[in-house]
Amino acid sequence: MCSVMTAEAVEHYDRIDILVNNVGVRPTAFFLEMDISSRWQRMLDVNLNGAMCGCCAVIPHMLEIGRGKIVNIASVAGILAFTKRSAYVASKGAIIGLTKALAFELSRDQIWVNAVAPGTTVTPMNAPYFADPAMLELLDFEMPIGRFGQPNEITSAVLLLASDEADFVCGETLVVDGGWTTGKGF
Amino acid sequence: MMRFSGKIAVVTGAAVGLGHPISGQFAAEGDVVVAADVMAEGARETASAIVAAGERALAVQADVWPWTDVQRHDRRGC
Repeated sequence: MCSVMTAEAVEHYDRIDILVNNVGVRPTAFFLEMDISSRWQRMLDVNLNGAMCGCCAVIPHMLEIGRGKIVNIASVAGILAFTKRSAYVASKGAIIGLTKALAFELSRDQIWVNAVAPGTTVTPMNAPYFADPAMLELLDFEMPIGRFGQPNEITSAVLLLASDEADFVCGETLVVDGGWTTGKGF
Repeated sequence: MMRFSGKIAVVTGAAVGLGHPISGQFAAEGDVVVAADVMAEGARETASAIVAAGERALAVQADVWPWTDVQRHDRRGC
């Protein structure tokens, strides 16, 4: 439970300054073949409600110290649709909306809520993409910068939004995708 | 660059994927990382790697979503 997470953090360190809502899952299925009661529900529970729950758990501690930074991990799938990923797309789009909504309500309390939307990054979750030559060719064709992202390139965006340097950035989703969502390659 | 210097950062899904490098980078810039994941062993591995690098981290096993967590969600917490 999120309350366990924050209780342990506060017990050990007395405060929480930053929350990164990173947890997410991405099973794939065509919408009409999806088991709504389990798969869809599980996806929304982890990807959207998990972030909401994390916020619920940390915000009181941030209010107590008068300042806090929350960074949600969205996805380019919150901006564009991808086949067999309806629940993922819905959950990440919702994360972008949640980020704006919480920023709107909490910025005056000195709680910053922003998001990072990673593009195709070399992580274990994306390993199947890199093992598929056809997928690689397609990704490369659509990728203005001509390469995939490295984890540290996503991390640096997260750290920027969590830092004091981004104090005038509220409710923003920073797309870090090598230009992938800027246009189509034909 | 040490942008954080002793701040406490909670990272969910810290065991795998982006959670691991995000945790490591916060620690490298001076944060104390609370590495949370439903996979206890993975959370411990992320925290151990940070501690081995001479930084501070705590592993916590936590599932981000049981409804029971948000029966009360107000300014006092859930």
